Amino acid sequence: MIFRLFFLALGASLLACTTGAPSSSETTACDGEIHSETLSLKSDEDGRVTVPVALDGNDDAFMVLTARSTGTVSTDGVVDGEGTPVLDWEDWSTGHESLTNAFFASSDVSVLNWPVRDEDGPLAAGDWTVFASTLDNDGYYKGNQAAEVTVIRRSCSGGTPSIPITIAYAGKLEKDREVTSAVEAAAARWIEIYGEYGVDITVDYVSVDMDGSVPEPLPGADAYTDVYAAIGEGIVVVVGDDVAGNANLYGEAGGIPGPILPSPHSVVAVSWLVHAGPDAAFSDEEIEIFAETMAHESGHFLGLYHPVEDGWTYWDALDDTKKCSSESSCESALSDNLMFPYPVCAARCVEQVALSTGQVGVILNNVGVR
Amino acid sequence: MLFLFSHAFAAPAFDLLKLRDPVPCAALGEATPVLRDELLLLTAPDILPSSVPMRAADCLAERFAEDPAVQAAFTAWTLDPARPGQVLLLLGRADTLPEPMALALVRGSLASPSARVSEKARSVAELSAAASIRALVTP
Repeated sequence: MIFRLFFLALGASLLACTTGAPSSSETTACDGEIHSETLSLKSDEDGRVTVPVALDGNDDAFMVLTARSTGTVSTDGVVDGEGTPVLDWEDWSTGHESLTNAFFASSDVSVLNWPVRDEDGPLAAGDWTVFASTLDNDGYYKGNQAAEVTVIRRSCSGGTPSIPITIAYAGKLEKDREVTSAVEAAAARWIEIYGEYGVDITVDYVSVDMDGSVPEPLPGADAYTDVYAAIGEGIVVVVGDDVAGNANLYGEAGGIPGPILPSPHSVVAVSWLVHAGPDAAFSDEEIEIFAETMAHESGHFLGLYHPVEDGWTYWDALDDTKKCSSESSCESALSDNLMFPYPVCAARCVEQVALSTGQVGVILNNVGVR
Repeated sequence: MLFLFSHAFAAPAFDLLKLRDPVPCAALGEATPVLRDELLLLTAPDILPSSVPMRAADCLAERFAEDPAVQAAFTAWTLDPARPGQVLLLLGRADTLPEPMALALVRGSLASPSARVSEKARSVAELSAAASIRALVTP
């Protein structure tokens, strides 16, 4: 029996659980198609779930969401159509680079998008296999457990990549003109930031019947399941007064990557108040940081890690984001990167809008981008 | 996203509060007078990024709610035109504050020159579990 407590401890509070019931669907998007299929599977006696992923020659990315209602679940690896392993969680369990949170044991859903990086593709046609695992709450494999698996394949051979964004106001904020003006200005800036890298985003606005103090997108945040089910696609950004009743965060994404099916993790939650600051009024600089937060957290949702974590000993798995190892060297090399872990400010704050080619590749490989 | 790396617990307060992703107030270390004073300094409205003074206020409320110096600061902020955002934040967690402090905060906020603050204070008072606070808006 293999012990997975490391990933359980690190990832248990990070990932998603699905309470909504996925269903089969097939819709046309950009120049390709999205194919979604839900399978009711069962782990073998060792706790391994074998997920078939049949790719045709047009598929360029897929996402596998493995969910269960009790215990925990993780994704262990991918084998291509030739039978060659192309991803193994054990290769990433002890290093200092992060590729996907799919390896982390989650309370009930694990999200793998493949390929993650451009170097992980392109995908060849064939009968691929994704291996997931069912575990108990202590991180041990647990066999003969039911798992509901949704496989989403994307065939998108051209056109301008696009992400539908829905900004959802909680706590009747849609009636607060100061807040909505700032959010709209920040969204316009976000469109510019992603547009610089050839990614179109379209933004719609809705209001949701939630308290202004919105929950973190973690297990138990069932309101987000309903919010995502009502909206149904893309990235949903929920704007509240605060997140989790305090000022502890600008915003938080529901996963790396996040699930694009209804679940408590299927949103990015942001606080307008923390961005507006002590005077509760948005300066131009605060609107810029608000835009960067939405773009940054959505970057997480699409699969991006910080290029370097605070502490300077953990990095993303991309070759073209510098592997710096001190605060000064990291700020020197990466302070303008959109995914840098904090705003860098003196008299003013550095604009954090840069993305490396590798980071753009991760975004474009997410099946939510069409 | 939250990352539970242990190295975060040794960093100075500003370095933790500036992070874009969440760090618990407990990561700031022991609740000493030194930390209290550092956090009070970090609540200055002109500090950038502006999340830092917000999060400093939040951590003061979480870690030092019984401290008279913190209570005095919070009460003074209710009339400070540079701090309605921090007062709104504190009003949002009034039910977690000691009742005397919450009472002073709500009372001061009801008289705030900021309509947003006074309206929030009224809402908090109306919904408060504490009779003394509800009485502030009960005829």
